[in-house]
Amino acid sequence: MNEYLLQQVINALSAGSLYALMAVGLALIFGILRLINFAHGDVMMVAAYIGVFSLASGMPLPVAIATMILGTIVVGLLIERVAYRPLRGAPEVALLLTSFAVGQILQNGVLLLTRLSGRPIQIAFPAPDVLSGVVNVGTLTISKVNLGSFIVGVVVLVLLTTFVSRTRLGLSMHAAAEDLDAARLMGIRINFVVAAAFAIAAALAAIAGFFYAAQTGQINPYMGFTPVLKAFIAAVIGGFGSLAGAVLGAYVLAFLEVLPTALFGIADIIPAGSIPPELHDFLAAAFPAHLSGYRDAFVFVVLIIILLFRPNGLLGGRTREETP
Amino acid sequence: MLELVDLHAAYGHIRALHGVSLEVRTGEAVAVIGSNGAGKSTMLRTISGLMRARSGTITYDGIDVTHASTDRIVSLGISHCPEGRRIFGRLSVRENLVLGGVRRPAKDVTVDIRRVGELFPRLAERLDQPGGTLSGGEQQMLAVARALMAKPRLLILDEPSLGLAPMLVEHIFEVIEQLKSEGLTILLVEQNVHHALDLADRAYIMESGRITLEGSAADLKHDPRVESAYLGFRA
Repeated sequence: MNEYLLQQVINALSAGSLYALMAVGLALIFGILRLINFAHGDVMMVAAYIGVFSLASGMPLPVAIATMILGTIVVGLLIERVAYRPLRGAPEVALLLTSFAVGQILQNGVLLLTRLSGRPIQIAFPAPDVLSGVVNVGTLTISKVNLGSFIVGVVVLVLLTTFVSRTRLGLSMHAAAEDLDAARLMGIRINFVVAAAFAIAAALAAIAGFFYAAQTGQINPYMGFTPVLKAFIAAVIGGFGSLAGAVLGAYVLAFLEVLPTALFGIADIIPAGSIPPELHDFLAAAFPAHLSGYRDAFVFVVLIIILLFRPNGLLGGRTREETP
Repeated sequence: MLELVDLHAAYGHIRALHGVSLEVRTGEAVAVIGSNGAGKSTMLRTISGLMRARSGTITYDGIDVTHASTDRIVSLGISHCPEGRRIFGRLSVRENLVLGGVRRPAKDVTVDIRRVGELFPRLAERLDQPGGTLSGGEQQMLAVARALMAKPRLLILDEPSLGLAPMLVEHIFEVIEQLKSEGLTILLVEQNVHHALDLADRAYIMESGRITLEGSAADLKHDPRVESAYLGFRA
């Protein structure tokens, strides 16, 4: 019983790390440009494809991962330069629609390439050996992919936090997010800061994409939709634009998602006699196993409740002062 | 040092500057006085490259900077302390100052934080405090200190006394006076006519996007047209 719950906690930490990597990318870009970059999931998808082809070409794993990250950064920078920079200062709705268009172009582009090369839409992502199988910690069995995504996620997020709070470029990003015109008056090169934000977001998406693909074992051109949606929800829970909020929201979301799985049907898992029969009956009646299918409904009900009480998210509440 | 010739600017279809010509000479303090909406801030934003001029030219040290980017203008030595302070409230005082010197080498910035700390002892005591927790007067000090971190040769100040208690207004003008005596060239926009004309060598009166009067600060102090201009009606 304890192992079962711990298992769920580990699942949540692993999923939360991936959501956080994606959500931080959304928050970074939103903070500066007020752009909700819905193409971010598709950037992750492209990263997974670069990963598959790098691994298939026989590159050693570190080289393949580096290629994947660098390639995705190039894609991110290209998108910023071609699609978003010409729209600087345009209404937020125009930016949002553009992000959908960029996502569609990426999806169809990859689809076209797979068709032309005669591959099926769904292709296998060969999980590298280091991430295959499980590790046993005491009586716990943890899949290496889950463990890896949690550890790498936390390390990357700590590095990012250090970067944002300790370097001039990080400070410049912060300043641009808080007051764009004041940041320009400091002499900060906004184009450079925005490009850096896109590069970082793309690198984070590549890392998330690697673990996401390794978890599911296969990739397709539409795989970016669920992750970007989850990242968006995480950013909204945390308070849009706040990096810490995005991370917090990601883990809150991940725990909310495993909660129904852990809770519904819990009575069937607890060994008879370990708890009083009245409690057992109560658990069986309150959390019947057949309701575990309502996982998403449960998650969204809790989200609505959170937003009713904290409309700006858990760490939100402060918004950038508008330029007079 | 800075010369504006027949500058026009607009927000969309709303024209804000109708041919402004103005000059700031090296070592001088120049005040621009006018009522709300006269176009003073628009003129400053156009000088800094935050707004684009429709026509006319801005020359700085003989270089045409009419279409230069803001970061280039800062690099050339023009530092603009904007209206309403616009400090980064979530960042610490120190981080605000570091950002003020973002175009300069990191080691100079460390030295300069100490230097502005001597000018504003209140800030030196609060270096690690978030900017947003400072009082209004301290925030104005921070805004000026941050603008100085860029080591400007021309300092642009937009309504530095706005919303400050009389004692703090005195203090901020003392600081500006000291900067002037150290040889810094200053372009000051103010509604506090009395203080502005005491500080400035020369002044321009701006009404509805036009310069309507200019002269030495001493002369303008006794000109009845000045009062009517900043009160917003014509004599």
